[in-house]
Amino acid sequence: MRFLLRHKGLLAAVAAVLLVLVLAVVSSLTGGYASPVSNLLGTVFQPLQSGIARLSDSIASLYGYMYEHDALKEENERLKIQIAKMEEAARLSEASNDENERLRQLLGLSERRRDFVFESATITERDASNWASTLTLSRGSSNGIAPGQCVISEAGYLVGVISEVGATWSTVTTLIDTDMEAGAFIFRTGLSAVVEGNFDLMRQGLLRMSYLSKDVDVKNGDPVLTSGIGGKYPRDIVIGTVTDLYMDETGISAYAVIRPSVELGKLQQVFVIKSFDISE
Amino acid sequence: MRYRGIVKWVVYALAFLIFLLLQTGVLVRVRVWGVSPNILPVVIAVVAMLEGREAGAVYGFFAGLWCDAVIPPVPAVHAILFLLLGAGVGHVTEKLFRKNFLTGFLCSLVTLAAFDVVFFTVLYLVPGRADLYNLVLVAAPEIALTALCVPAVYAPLRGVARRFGNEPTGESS
Repeated sequence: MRFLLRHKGLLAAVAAVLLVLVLAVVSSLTGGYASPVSNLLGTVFQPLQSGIARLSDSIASLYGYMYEHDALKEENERLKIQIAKMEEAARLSEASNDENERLRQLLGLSERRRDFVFESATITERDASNWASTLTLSRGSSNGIAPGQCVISEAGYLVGVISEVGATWSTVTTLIDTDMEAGAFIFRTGLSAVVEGNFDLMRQGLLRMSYLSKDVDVKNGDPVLTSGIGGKYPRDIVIGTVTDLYMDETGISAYAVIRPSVELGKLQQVFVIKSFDISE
Repeated sequence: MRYRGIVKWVVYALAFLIFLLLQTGVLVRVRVWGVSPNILPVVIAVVAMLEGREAGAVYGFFAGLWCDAVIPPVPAVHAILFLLLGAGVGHVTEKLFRKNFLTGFLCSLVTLAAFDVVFFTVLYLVPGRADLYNLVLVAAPEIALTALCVPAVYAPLRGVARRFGNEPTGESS
């Protein structure tokens, strides 16, 4: 009798494993849309998660308030916007009139990038695992969100890409995750390369720009923007700035370490670009 | 007795949901040595120790399904790993160890270590996205940090087992 029970248990375990593997395959075949089980569980869980996230944010804010005056916080936010504008102005002064016009369009996204169709979303979960860099948003397929859509902050900085979508939630793979890869260029020189996540750098909140030549003209502080090549990301979305340059493991080419302009740990709201005009 | 058994598993399920909310909503914000604690394998290990191999496997499977739904990036991995780890912990503790806090503590850390090794190997090491050094850099502090959380997980789960009749007998072979 015990043998039969043990045998049935083994059969049940194998059946369970096969079931989840089938669900995983279904999920991968749907191109990023969650499987029915994940969708249902995620939809049920998302309101609870949202509530906990708001509570955690409140506690974190209270903690910060105890050590900061309101005036200092407001001044800090004002100065950040001012710095972002000054950095934009500094970039404008280095380029031609045509490029100046293009860069001015990076600010005031809803007015200047009329080709963007946005969906705003709040963050309900961040970095749920120590092995990946992800965010969970409060919007899903019912709001027109689809896998592969680009996500930016309200300042126009690249946050990541939608990797999984449920009915009322979606998951963002951030720009520092090891799954992340995007075409990019260095603003000052126009040099094109690929930015990608790296496990070592992810833990430091950084990413790398790979496939650079050994004698590449790159300086610390150079802004890096998306190139739009491939059509996955809109062109001219700010990724970050160069902090260091190293030789890669092969010794043949170099890579630059990029510090993202977006502060992932402080994000509370993001914008999903549901559609945009592809630049030639 | 049957009624108590059903209520016990409902309470275990609610407890897992609460721990999952804590993990994804609160503990992920606690960053020490660059990592956050991970109490979910601890929950599986403790319940498997208290309730046995079959129950541990079933509990791990359904808990893993829920984790796969709310914790990116890869579906199915939590369900399979938690099923196997629940069965393994339940089997080993049935045969060899007393069901007490020390066993629960050690099983929790071993379960977390096994989870990290398999998870990392399948998703990062084999595809060449990271190397063993990265595993140590993340897993070691994660296990150390999670060890501090084990008492807070063990106490309520043991309380459930005691309240609904499965008092750990403390027997060993």
